[in-house]
Amino acid sequence: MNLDFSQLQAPEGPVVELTGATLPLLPAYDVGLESVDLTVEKGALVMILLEHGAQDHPLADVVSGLVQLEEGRVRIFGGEWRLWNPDQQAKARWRIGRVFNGHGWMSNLDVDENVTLAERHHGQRALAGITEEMTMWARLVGLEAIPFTRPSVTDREELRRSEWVRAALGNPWLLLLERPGRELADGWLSDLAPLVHRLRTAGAAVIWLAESDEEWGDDSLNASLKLRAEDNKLFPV
Amino acid sequence: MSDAIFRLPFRYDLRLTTGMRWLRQLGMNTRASWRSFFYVLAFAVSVVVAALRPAHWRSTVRNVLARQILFTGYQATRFISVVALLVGISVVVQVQVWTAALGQKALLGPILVMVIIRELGPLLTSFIVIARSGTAMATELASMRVLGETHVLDGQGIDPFIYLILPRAVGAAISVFCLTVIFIGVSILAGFFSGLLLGANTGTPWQFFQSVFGAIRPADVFNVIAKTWLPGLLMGCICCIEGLSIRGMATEVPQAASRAVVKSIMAMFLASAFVSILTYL
Repeated sequence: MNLDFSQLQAPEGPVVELTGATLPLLPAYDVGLESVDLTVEKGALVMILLEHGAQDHPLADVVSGLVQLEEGRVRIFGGEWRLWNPDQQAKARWRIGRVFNGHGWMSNLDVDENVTLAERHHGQRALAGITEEMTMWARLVGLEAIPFTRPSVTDREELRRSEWVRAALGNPWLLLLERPGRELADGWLSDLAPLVHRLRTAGAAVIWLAESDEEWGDDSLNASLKLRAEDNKLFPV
Repeated sequence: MSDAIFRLPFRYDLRLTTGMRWLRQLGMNTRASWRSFFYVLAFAVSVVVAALRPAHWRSTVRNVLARQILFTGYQATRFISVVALLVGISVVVQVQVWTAALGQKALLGPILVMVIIRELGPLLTSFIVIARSGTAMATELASMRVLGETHVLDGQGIDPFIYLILPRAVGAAISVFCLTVIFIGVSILAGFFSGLLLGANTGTPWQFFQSVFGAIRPADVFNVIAKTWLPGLLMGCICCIEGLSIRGMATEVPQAASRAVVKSIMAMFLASAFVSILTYL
């Protein structure tokens, strides 16, 4: 299937479809997957509460096509990772905005360069346009500006919010938020919520891996589906 | 031949004499070395093929290339110039003095071309670049692996081969070539002026430079190009391979750097010998 990844919105149909997704426990993760079924439509928010002590969950990597399933199937944007060539896979990943679970930064680039990296690499837009959009998102999440410093010397709070901005940049079709509020002081949820709302309104699907009951149970986010991760499976609540 | 033949069951191992065990180990090591050699070669070819595709040279990749040339090339010019100056004084002065003393001043050019341009310039420059930038490159990439930064690139659809390896390998090759040209120029100039100061019979500047540049043949030009681009490219590839091949433990970082330097030096001498044979045999 030939997808035009430069479109503002994902093609019609479910954005993500996991069918019987099974993955053994790998060294990089705390848990595996066992016959997981999940469908995420355009504009939907799926909130998943992670099991206590199992924060490294493979779901985001599976959806991004970075890990191959042992059994089952993953469809994204109406296509399949295994059927796309490397260029198509790269473009598809560009349309996924992601807040990474681990250290999500290139150490040898400034934070602002990190934030715009994927957009500059894949997109055709001029840097001025990208910077303008970056500033807009930064203000929305409570930042004056994206720091022009290396990640290692940047304030943790600013770094985490900059990560949200990076995920939102360039009209992502899918937003993968892996513990987006970790290490942040209370009150961060009200700063992230407008960004999520705006992207959902624009048609992006959101998968949110939450680490606390507070964020998972927050009704202001208006989640389409709430799931609980337990014993390698996802249980609806 | 299948690998399984060489992985003998334990009971067979007991039957082997010490000599045979040694021979088996030698064979296994030789096979591993050849595999590693061909892997690096294939990797370098992949880099060249990728470099020829304009679509790969996006602004982000060009940016990394510029930074690599800045670090490996530009920032090393002062050090290379100092080394070239000292080499120029010690080598060129001796050649000048002895050729003048033996009444063979006509040999000055060919000897300088042979010593400085064909061998010393490319080899010393490659050596300095390996020691200075090769370790840095391997360490940087290994640290990226430890911190999961290659995963972050992958997650954003940025191919680490295109973004990390391609500009580094090409940048290293360009830098080695440019630094070698600087090395040759500085050492020959330094030799002439130091010979002049020490009272060696150098002749006029015109005679000196004519004897040097007149002795350069097209094969020498090919030799300099091949002996700089090839080791530079191989060094870049080896350091990237070693840096990115670690499994993610911080203790592996210095080991990767050390392996990268040893293999790069070996590749440099092999490439140099190969080009010499190709050019002058």
